[in-house]
Amino acid sequence: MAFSINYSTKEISCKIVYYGAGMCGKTTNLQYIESKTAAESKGKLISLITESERTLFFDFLPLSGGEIRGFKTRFHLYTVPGQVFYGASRKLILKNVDGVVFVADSQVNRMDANLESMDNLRTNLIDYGYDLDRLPFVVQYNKRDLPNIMPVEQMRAQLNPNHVPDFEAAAAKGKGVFETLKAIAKLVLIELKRTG
Amino acid sequence: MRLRLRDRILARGKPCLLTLWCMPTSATTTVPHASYVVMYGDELAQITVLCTQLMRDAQAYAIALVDRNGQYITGQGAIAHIDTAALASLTAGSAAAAENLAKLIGEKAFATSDHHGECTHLHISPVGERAVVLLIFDAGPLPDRVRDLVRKFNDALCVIFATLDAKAHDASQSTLLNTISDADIDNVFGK
Repeated sequence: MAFSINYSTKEISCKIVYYGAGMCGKTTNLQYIESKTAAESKGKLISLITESERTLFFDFLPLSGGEIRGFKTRFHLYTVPGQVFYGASRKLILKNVDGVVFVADSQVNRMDANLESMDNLRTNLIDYGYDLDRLPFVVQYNKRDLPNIMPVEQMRAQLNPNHVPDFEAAAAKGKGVFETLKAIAKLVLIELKRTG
Repeated sequence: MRLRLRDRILARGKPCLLTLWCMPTSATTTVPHASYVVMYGDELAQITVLCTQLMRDAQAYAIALVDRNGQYITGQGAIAHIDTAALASLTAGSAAAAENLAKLIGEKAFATSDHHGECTHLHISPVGERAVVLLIFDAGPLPDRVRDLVRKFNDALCVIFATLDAKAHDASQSTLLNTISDADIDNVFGK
């Protein structure tokens, strides 16, 4: 895990990664969070993107939560590049992750991409010595506002067989975005407490 | 001059069986090191002193020390005018990308990377297994001198990180984590 506790500055920092197939809405999640968070609770959203605005390396948004026992909580939110050919940089971002949000595209024709990305997530985590089933992990079924989407139950059966917390979302409109963030932040802090 | 086979393959920029064969085994399997970083006031003060010395001796105008996960540790000089969260994330990302580039071509690591602008120059060096140091210059840095200084900085920093590890493993230091309640966690983002 990457979390750090700084007794000098009284800060607890954690790393959360939004993972998923290309164009599933990972960056949109961060953009919405950035747009709705008070200036004093956020840093600048950094996006390393291609000319066609696809994530090339990562997006990064530092966020501040409330205090715990006098310690400020800091959540560093990252996205990975979703496109299949950016596998090397995608894996790099996962290193020492504290919690993962898997963003699934609800459109029927994107299910194969979702499954491939989930498989890729597990494989990359194993390479770092992590087990997804033991990591703070939530699933977001995004783009619920679009036509031709798959029923949530069907998505859940394929993408969330272990019944981790999951959320329906329409990130472009903000639906489900903060619910997802709060859930993963809470799981990360519970894990932090457990490891202490 | 005729290039060696390996050089010619590498020059094409495509990974191949030969380059994989040349890679150290660690290039394909990464083992996580320290599980998390705990920083205390005494050690942070010592690190800050080291940073100040390095900045002064290297004739840089700013220095930042970040951990490999992109968390800002400390900085000195004109760093106060820079977005340190973004700086730390990008520095760690740059160092991680360079490290993996090195592995792709069969190198263990690149010791440093330098970026030269019109007026400002960056020097990035991994220090130990934990951190990356970034120096900012307004004149071209002297590469050999900076490398020597960073090496000494690295040695001193490793001693401090060893102390931090020892403290973190001391159960009595984990008081904060042990006292976090469910209500504390609920309150972080509101109920």
